[in-house]
Amino acid sequence: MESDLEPAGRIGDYPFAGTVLVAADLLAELISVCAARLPDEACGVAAGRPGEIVRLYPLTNVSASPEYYTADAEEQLEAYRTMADEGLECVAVYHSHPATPARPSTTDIAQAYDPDVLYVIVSFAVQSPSVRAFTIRDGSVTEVTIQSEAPA
Amino acid sequence: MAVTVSINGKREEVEGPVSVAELLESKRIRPQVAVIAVNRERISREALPDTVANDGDLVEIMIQLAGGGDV
Repeated sequence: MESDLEPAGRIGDYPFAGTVLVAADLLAELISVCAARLPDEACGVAAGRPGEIVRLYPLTNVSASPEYYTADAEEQLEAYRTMADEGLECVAVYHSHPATPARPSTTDIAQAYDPDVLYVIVSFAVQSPSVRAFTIRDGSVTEVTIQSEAPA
Repeated sequence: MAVTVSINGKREEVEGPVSVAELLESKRIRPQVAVIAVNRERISREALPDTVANDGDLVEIMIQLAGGGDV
């Protein structure tokens, strides 16, 4: 989100920097839309403000694969137009890993096109879904902590 | 007024007129991986060298998302 985020510590496999706010109901929606596409990977984009995700735009995975996703180009373009019409900007890209952990794969890292966007991964590798967010810059992965709050 | 450039949902403004091919080059985006539209009309790769955006135009550049959990 913030382009000037610097690693502030380390948890697990990656250094981490900053937090992104995702309302609890939106986080539940994210898990739900990804679960609905199982056994295939789900994908989509998300809009919001720096430091906060406020809306999801699910996209069809035209690869229809449990190991790979390719977003439907027409839907992706339309999602960006809808965001603009709503006064929002794309701040995150999400996809699911049906059977692997919530961390960027070598393919994810190679395909990461934007150093400032957040890459959110929902994993169903274990019984309780896991959601993590990352920045990927020049092949370097940094984790951004997801802060989830219930709506006021 | 300026040219509005949207790259995968992020907007910025640049001074027009500007060649769309040069715009892509300045952003280090290969035309082969991008969908381009000017004022919501698709631009073919063949037409890129001749396409110029003027002040007030909207240039949309979209890189199709892909990836996967092949860890």
